[in-house]
Amino acid sequence: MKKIVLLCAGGMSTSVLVNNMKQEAANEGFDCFIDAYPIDSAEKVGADAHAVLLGPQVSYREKEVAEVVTCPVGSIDMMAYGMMDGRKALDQAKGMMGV
Amino acid sequence: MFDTIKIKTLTVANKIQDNKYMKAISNAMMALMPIMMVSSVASLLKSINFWGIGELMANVGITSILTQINTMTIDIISIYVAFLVAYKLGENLKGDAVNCGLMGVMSFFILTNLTKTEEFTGFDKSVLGSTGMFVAMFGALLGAKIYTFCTEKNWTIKMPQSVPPVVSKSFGAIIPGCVVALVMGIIYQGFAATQFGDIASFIYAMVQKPITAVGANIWAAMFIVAFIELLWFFGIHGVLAVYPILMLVFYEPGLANLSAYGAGEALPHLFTLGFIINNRGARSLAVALLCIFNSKSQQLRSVGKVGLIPAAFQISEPIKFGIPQVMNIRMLFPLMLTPAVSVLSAYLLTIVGFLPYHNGVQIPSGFPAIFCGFLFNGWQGIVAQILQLVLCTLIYIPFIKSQDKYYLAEEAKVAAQKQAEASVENVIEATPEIV
Repeated sequence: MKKIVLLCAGGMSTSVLVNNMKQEAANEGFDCFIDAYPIDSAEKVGADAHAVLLGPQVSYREKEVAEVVTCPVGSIDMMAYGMMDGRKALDQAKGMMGV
Repeated sequence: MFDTIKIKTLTVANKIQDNKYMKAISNAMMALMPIMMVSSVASLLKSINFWGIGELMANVGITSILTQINTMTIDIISIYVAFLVAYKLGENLKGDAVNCGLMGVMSFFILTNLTKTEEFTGFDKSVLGSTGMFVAMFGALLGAKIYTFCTEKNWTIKMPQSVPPVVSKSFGAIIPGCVVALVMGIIYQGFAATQFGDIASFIYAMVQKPITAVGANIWAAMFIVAFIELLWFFGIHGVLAVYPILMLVFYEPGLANLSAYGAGEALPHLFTLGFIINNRGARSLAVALLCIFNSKSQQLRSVGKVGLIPAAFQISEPIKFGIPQVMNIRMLFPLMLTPAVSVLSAYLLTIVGFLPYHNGVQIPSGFPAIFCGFLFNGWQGIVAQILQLVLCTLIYIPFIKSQDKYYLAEEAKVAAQKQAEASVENVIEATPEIV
């Protein structure tokens, strides 16, 4: 099962997006684990992740996160984030994992 | 031009956060949350005093339980700070975090003066509370740094291979631990010889007081909240980026207020972290309401709907990125103006004697906007928050209108284009028949 980790300042706003992503994943029968965390726990929660997505408001720390995890790291598009677009975010994560 | 400004702000934000020591301090303050929560809840419960509940609690002994809880959390907060700062620095320096944490507490205690009277020798509560916080930070950072430095240099007692790792590890801490203790002891003794008497008085007079004084005026407060939004304009989480600075300047006054609040004394500080952060107005809520009730474009109406509930719980990201307010020059002015005006209104309400000082209570993020004012200031807090919501809404009206017009034009253009395409398709489809 694929593990997708979303990071923002406190894991609050991304948790809204996580719900929408889970919905999309369930609709298409894509078996995965998605959850949101504060960016400062990146090293711990990203250790066994297959993709790490950053909220755009913390994307300025993308390099720092990429250094502490082994999986691909990306930032979510601003507009997709603003609309809490679970479809786009899930597609981005799938693209990063190559599935 | 935009790009150069963006890169510059990014570098500043990164520099503040990348510094291992600053990061240790701000991460430690975040990790301190559980203790602060316990103390906040105890203080709030203790302050309940209507319908005779206060007397009832005092009579059955609940008040004394709450007092004891408060004393052992907020009033000796610097012990927790010392451990956490050193622990977090240990993590950042890739050292043994727990041992670093212990070194932090030890360093803080060695640096701190004992109070001796005829019948009592011990720490005075005041040196372990918020006034001791900077000493705790200093001791923790230095102690953890020395400890990891010594272990990195392998200044340890080497055990033969056959000794179990647990044993050799504890032996490994002997020399680094002794070096830390010795350095702290020398510093302690050194300050005892000066006019200050101890490092706490020195740091308080030379560092803590000036730093707090810099922040203790309305201009600094307005500048900070506007600057946070400027960072947001560039798509950077403003509060997160300036958190270390906020911590250094405004955390201690908030602790002092919470301590006084728990003890039922007059609150000493107007400008605290809570005052600034919580009086920025429910801006996203104002924008979401305007989008829903005062806009015609599809874009704004749908952003308003997506963002309303999160905004009511003080989550601003959908509004910030959906409008968007990020990298949208049309929104820059109200973005920076609304929190500054909100803080100013809270300040004015305070100095005319309407709004009580912020009690320093900490609440989990995501607490409903407006209502949180009640926990900080009582019913006056709600009034202040509603006033801020009204002010923010008024300021935003023309700007959201202009954004709405822009989107309406865009949407009309797209619709016209679609219609044109559709008619072209009709023509193409129709053509063969004609031929």
